Amino acid sequence: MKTARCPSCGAPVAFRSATSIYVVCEFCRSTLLRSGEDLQNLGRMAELLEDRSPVQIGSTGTFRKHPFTVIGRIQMQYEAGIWNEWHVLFDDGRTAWLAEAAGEWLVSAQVAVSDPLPAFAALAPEMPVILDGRTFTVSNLVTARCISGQGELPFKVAAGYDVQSADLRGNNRFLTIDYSETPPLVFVGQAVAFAELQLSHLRNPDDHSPAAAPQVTARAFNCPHCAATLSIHSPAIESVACESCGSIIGIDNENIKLLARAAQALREVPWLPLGSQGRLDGIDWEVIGFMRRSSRSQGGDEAWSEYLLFNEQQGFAWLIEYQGHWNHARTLSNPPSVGRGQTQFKYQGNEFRLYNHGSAEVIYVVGEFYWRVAVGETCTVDDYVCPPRMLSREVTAKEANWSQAEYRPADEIRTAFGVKAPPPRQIGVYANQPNPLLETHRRTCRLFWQLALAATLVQLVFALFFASQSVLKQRIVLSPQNEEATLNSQEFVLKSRARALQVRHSTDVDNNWLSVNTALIEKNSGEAYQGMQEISYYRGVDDGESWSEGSASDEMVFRAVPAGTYYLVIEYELGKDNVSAVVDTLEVIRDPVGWSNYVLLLIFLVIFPLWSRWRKAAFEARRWNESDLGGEAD
Amino acid sequence: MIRSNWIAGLLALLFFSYAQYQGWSLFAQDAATQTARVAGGARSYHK
Repeated sequence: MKTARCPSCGAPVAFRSATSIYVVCEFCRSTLLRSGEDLQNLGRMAELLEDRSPVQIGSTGTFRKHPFTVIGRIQMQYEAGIWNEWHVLFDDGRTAWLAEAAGEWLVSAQVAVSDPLPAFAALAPEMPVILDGRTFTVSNLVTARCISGQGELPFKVAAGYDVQSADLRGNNRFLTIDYSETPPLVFVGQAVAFAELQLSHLRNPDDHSPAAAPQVTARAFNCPHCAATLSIHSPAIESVACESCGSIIGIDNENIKLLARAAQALREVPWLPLGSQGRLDGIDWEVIGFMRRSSRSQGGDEAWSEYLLFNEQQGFAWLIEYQGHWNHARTLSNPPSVGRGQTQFKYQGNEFRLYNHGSAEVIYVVGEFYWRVAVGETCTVDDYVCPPRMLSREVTAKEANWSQAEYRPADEIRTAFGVKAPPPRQIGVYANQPNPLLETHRRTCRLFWQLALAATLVQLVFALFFASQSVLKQRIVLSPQNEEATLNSQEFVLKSRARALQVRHSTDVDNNWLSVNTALIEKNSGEAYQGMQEISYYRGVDDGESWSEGSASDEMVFRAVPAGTYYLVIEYELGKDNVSAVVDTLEVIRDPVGWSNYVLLLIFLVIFPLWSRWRKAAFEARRWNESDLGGEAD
Repeated sequence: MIRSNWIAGLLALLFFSYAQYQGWSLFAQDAATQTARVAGGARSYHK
């Protein structure tokens, strides 16, 4: 670290970074140029505008396990307010920039790019830009002015300069093209959660412990129109809508400015009152803003509520309520690259499908917001769903933002925020509402396979251990000469009681019929069991098409046949349609194992998964019926 | 639904096992259950 004395006031100044060329004297605000061992006074730097950033020169933190110290900053002013770019020095001597935008913290460093950069005027939100083989998408276009600087800086701020900058996102990276120089400067970095930065030595003079959160307490002020007490919870807040009179107040540094005087005729009472505190996913949130938005995407107006949540460590989040359905949403730091009109894409392993395309208009606001909110503000919206998640893209003339929402049960929101009033009544199926029948269907299918496996095992046990046993097989010739004839079969022995005894006639009857009266007779007792069968088989060719009807074989079952010695008496009558003799292969099978019961059981079991699948599909049909794009159910 | 499916499936499986044991079949033609005693059954049978 190089130290010297300010040539203007004599105060000590230090250069902690070798790349710092300028330093602004902390006491007299002189801009000092490092020139060898000497310091050259370039004149007084403009005063910094007071802001409420928790970061200050000397704050320390960590990014990707590399400790850094804040050594300088530039202050930027644009139409909606100011923001700071903090110059940070890492322990290994590298420098980078730390910026806060809409509650999101970004760490970026300058890189060299070989590809030619597009002109600022040629850029538009959502436009893809390819740099060094990687595709980025324009997310924000800003025209601002660098108005002041502090501490060590790698360039001269002097009386300030105009900046046109484009923010781009893609490949899990954040990229800024700074058009204040020729050629433009390119900075690449990453979005990071405030808590991950592990910042310490923050602005609160009472607490310098490394783990301490930035104790940004709410600042109160009076509405310039109705004098109602209003508050600001975060330095990122850029506008406040007065709950009492509906005026919208811009927060321009420490000053407030009436943007819209009692402009809102509509009065809404949020179900979650401003100031409500609740815990979602282990994070404590406070409701600081409420807005109603409407869409004209489907012919009629559809309005929904959006609650802005704030947590000092986590920044901002949203609770969105539409017809009793709730979503918890956060801005997406690494949005997907999706073209306009693209109907589906894969993101983080999930397939998202376009559900809704339309425009959204702000119709009522109250409370604090991190941008200059205005009634009538519109943007185009694309909603892509993969229940329970939904990715939404909101595009304006200068900005494209992605947010990710997750469906939450109303009871969870009610419990989290301890609201006594009943939540809005739930109507219909929401875009990303999880299908409750999905899990039921999965379990039903699982149960089907378990029962089908059990049935297969049972069938195999019967086939292997209770196998069918042929006790008689004999060929007999049925002559057409006798009109009615009787034949006796060979004897066979049943050593034990047969549960079922199947008698099968396999004949070669052709274009004829056969009536068979079969009697099963126990040789010793004379006990007889009788059965009658009609066998007929006809075939031919009509108009060039062959046909057949009936069957040349048939079977019949005798049940509960006691042990004994048996024979069959076959009395038959053969039709006169064919004069040929018929050969009948007679077979007696003990305890036959049939497959028809197995097939019937499987048919019965499969009814349940088919039913649950139909119910699941019906739920999806209701979901997609609500889509103005008429997507189809699974 | 899962509980009723489980119960119905289990009952169906039990019934299937019993039907297989008994040799029942929906499509099999049962012979007459009535029996008759035939005199001199060992020698001949007359209608």
